[in-house]
Amino acid sequence: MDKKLVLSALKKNAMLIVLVLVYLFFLILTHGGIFEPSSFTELINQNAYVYILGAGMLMCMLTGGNIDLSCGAFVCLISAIGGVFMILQGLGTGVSILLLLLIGVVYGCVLGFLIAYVHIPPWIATLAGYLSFRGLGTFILSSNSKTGSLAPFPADFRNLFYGRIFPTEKGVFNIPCFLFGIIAAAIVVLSVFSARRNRIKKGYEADTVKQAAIKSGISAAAIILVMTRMAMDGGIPTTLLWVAGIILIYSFITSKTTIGRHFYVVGGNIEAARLSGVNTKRIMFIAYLNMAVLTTIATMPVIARSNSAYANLGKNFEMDAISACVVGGVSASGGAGTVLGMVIGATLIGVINLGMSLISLDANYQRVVKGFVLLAAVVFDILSKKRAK
Amino acid sequence: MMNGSTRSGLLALAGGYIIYLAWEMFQAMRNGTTSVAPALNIVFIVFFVLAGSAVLFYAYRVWRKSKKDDAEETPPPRPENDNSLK
Repeated sequence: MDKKLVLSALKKNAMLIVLVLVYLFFLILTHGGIFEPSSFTELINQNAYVYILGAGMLMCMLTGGNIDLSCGAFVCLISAIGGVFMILQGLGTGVSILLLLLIGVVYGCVLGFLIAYVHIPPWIATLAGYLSFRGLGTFILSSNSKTGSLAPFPADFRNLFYGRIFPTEKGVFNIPCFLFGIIAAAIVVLSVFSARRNRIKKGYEADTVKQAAIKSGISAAAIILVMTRMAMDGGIPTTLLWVAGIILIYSFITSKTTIGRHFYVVGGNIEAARLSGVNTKRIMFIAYLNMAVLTTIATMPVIARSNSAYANLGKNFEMDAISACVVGGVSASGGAGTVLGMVIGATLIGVINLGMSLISLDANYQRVVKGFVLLAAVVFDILSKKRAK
Repeated sequence: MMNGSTRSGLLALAGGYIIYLAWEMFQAMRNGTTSVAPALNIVFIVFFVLAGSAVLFYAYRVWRKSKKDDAEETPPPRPENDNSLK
């Protein structure tokens, strides 16, 4: 019986185990370099856009495996417009962010309308953005700057998306960061036990106390470990708060709200969803509006980190977001996948990228690794589809 | 918005990206910006082109199957003036 339980737990957490193994592999290869406090902060800062775009892509993919090809090019366009607002026009950070979000909402409404109500396939509609936005962004940049890039962004904008909360010197233990970790760990433990209690109350099958204790204990230990390492690197990065906020909001939406469940229903069987009274067109519209808004938000930490807007910004971002979702177990046919899965997928890709750059791996070897990860995800998808049949 | 056709699209994207990676590796080899041995580079390039093509072919098969399934699910149109019963 216990053997069965262990096997089912291993199967359920296969990607998490792969993540741990890959991390240990790079821990040996980098002689502990990946465990340095700065590596943890870098992992978050470097991959913030993958988590944010991944949340949006997850919502699109849930509706039936639909994707947004335009998000990388839209990042380039938004960064160029942001550069014009903040650097050339001298607009305040708050006003600039609001205007950029407004542009995101307008684009999302147009895209959502075309896909949901005009029935243009998402591929075609977003491919148009993919082809035009980078050109438009490059035009804005080249017509406003001789170098084809705009820099530097205002300090308050950078502090908001690439700064630290209660900063201290590197190497000095940051107490607020550690306390933040303790509070987050306590919330995780409480939520695991409260979810267990709710399931028992409703008569569903629930974890035993031992299982819940192991699950929450491992999660809490991981959170405290990460925050302790970050505490040695100058404090809580603001990027982490943005990413954590978005992950929590989308976890809540997908698992606890009616509209979140509608995304799964539409992806599972669009015709059955429509006949059950779900407004499928509205769900499709919201998915793409949400994606455009999240793309605008994802642009902020990217330009704050690079401190410039340039033509190549956002290149292949759509592939990173799709890979994070597919590696994280989001079904290519829609209707299945979780935010936590996407987070694990994005972290796995982030750890691989960080590990490869820490050991200064040749760019061609990096492409080989990327190709193999993608191939593994495709094979996994094909096998799981066959097994489901 | 059919599941089969979107899945095939996603698979096609993955196949295309794997071939694109092979192209990038070829470009790096031609420009001399890689330290990987040419023979090994060629092995990886050939492997990725084959693997990408295989994924593209599989995507095509999924797409064709989904079209076939859709056609089978759609009932045949009712004849407007069916005089055979009269």
